[in-house]
Amino acid sequence: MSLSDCEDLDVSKLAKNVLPPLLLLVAFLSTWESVVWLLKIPAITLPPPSRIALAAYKNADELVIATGYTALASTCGLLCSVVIGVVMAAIFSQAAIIRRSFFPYAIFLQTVPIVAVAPLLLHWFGNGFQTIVMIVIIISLFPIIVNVTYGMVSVDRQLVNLFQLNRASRWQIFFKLQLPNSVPLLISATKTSAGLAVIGAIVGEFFAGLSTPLSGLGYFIMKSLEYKIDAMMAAVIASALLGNAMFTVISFIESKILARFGQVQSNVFQ
Amino acid sequence: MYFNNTSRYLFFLATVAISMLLTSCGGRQPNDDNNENGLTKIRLQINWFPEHEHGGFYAAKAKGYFAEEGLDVEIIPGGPKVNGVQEVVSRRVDFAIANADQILLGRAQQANVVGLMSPIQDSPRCIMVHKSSGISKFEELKGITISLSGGKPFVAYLTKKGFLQDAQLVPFLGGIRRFLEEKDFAQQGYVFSEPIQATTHGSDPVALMVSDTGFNPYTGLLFTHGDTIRDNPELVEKVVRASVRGWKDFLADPSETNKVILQVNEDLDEVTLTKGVAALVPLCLPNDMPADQIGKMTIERWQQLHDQLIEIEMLEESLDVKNAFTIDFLPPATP
Amino acid sequence: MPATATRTISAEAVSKSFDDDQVVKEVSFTVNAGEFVSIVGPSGCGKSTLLRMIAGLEEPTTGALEVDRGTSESNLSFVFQDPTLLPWRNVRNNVALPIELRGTLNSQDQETIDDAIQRVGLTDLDKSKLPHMLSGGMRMRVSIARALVTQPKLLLLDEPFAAVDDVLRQQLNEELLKLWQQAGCEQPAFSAVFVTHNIAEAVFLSQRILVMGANPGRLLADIKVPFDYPRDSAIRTKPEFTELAADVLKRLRGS
Repeated sequence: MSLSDCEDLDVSKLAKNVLPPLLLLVAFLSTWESVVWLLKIPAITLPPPSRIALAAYKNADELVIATGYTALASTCGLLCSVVIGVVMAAIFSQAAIIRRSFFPYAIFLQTVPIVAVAPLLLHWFGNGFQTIVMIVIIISLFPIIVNVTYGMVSVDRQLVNLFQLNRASRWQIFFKLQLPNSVPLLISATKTSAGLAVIGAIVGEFFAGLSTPLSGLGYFIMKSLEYKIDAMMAAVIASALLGNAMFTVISFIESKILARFGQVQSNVFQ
Repeated sequence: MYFNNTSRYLFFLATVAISMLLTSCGGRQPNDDNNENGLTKIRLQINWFPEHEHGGFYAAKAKGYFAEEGLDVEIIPGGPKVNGVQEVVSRRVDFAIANADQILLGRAQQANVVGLMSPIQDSPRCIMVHKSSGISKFEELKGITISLSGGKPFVAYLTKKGFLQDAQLVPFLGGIRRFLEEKDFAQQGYVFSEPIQATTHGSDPVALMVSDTGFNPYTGLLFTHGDTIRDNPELVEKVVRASVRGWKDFLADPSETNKVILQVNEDLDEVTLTKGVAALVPLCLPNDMPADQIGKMTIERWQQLHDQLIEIEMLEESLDVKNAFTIDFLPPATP
Repeated sequence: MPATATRTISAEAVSKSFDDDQVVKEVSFTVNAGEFVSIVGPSGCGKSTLLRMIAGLEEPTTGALEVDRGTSESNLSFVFQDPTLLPWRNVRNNVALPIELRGTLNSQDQETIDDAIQRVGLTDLDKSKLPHMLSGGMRMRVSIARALVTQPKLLLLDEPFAAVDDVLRQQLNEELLKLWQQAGCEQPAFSAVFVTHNIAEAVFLSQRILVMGANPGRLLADIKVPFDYPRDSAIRTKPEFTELAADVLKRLRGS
């Protein structure tokens, strides 16, 4: 393979992965813009992309700060979920009876409607940052607990035998075998939970209102909801981008970790 | 069998486009239906649960003023989630109630809504504090918790004036429960509503009127779509005329209409309603305004509101306020 | 009879049942110190279960099984059917695992680890590689190195070469014998019990072959392999070798 072959590969790979979504986006946005213009839809009903872009530009300062705040709340909550999730998985992995007892309540974490729980938590614990983080933890914890527990429990039986034959203690089996074995699953679960974390932060901020001096995207969306649909949609796009960014960062970490394990990242969309 | 990713995206795109089209189309034109009696069916969306705030409209219906104009008006109760401007724009209703600031902000978003009459001349918006707090002015709002609705223009106005910076702000969720329970608590409200409820429950409310700070939008306006005015001015004239009659009637003697309101709103009690009307009258007819001028609007008030909204950055661009309202359908002012 | 200084394993009427399923029925045999013994049999004859009982991973349901596991430092080691390496550790750290589990690693251990890696035919470069970078055969070598790093008195192997091709298998057989023989030493490095279903492999490697039958698993024969060590690949084509293999096959078939 010559150097020119390498260059060709890079460009064509770029074209293969970037062009189709880009073209689709252009098609989608032009259709949207034309439909609004043709049918004379007022901005209060459906703003066209051009108007949303303008609103994003006009509110740029506030949007950037709001995104930063939401990012902070989601990241803090997600990190807490990782820590709590690993600890709880460690406990669950120790005995089947523990898993059987706690499993229905772990499911509860997944199915509880966050829009009902968020106002309740805000009422109990105040409207501050710590409550938002709490909401993020509740919504993002379940995938981590489930996957990490599985990773710890589903160790190759022969590996467990190996440790037993060498008279390993429970701690050694946990830290040298179960915990590392669960790392790939922890990372992939964190990817899932990242999106949930952003949702949780936004829902929390939506209900927390104007209490905090620095408010997140959720509050921005809430106060723009009635009068400024274009600004609201700009904020919605910002939240999607935030979720995307977190996903990408974690994916990058995942690829590095999986390389260590000799596994390949799965990506059905490519 | 198995859809590849491209066709999945296209399917999704098609669904979105179709839903967009459906939301923008639809809705009826006025005069589409006649009821059995040959009366024209009209839908009027009010902006909250039925209250004395809407008294004149209920009076017009109860006393038959709408019927005399050949109209069968359905008054649709509202609530916290209902947006009258959206309802009118999408032609789901023919007429609705909103405040002047909502109309201007709607117009800024290309909503062709036009105010027709403003029964409530002075804004009832207030901040309700406990008498025991000793606070009698906005400048004194320090060290307490106030619940407010985040996105509202009056909140932005009070913030701009610097009245809220020493208070702890929490979201307004409706009701007066927390006010009754906590001494250092204040909340937003309408002077003819929440303070009266609080007094009935034995509390000590004091209402600080937001209009005293200079922010005084017309409140509870009847409005409609600009196209309705263009295409069917006779209909608009009839609705306004009957509404004015209804309001005059209601402010003079609300007793019969109150019974109707109590029937449609089970959560309202008679004491609050009666006292509420008493508090409402001076807002509808301030400074001894004669009753047959009910609903009048001046361009100076609209312009002032417009400029304030620009100042607090709720309006990003100037509008021509002349397009936001019309007094053409009001009875001529008595000389 | 209890295990003595020269007897590493003593099994008397050992049986094992899982629920109502009798997997091993009344197996009796001994393994002396330094012996290389194979266990051959078809699938389902309980040979792996027997090996696991010797290792202490399972308990016999009835019967007496005594295993001289030596001191705690030179225990027994087990080579599994799969290389069973920790995928997130490199070769060096995989081999270090048994020592690590028994206590802390010191600098002397480093030498032992390097030595074990060298003895199975891997290079210095291989030490930092991760398992997924290695071929199947190389991974098996790491597995063996790990088993030998604690200088075990008893080495148990459960069909370790079943998944490699014939050429590599024969090569690994020879290397295993060299490791067992310890060139230049009088005594073999360890006793070995080697489970396989490949008769030729059993004949090549061992001094004795325990033939087991299935349904239920039981001992059919205890055959001596009279060839001298060291053995090289040439021996596989000798007529005595083929005859012995045929004999084992006959016993396996149960006639």
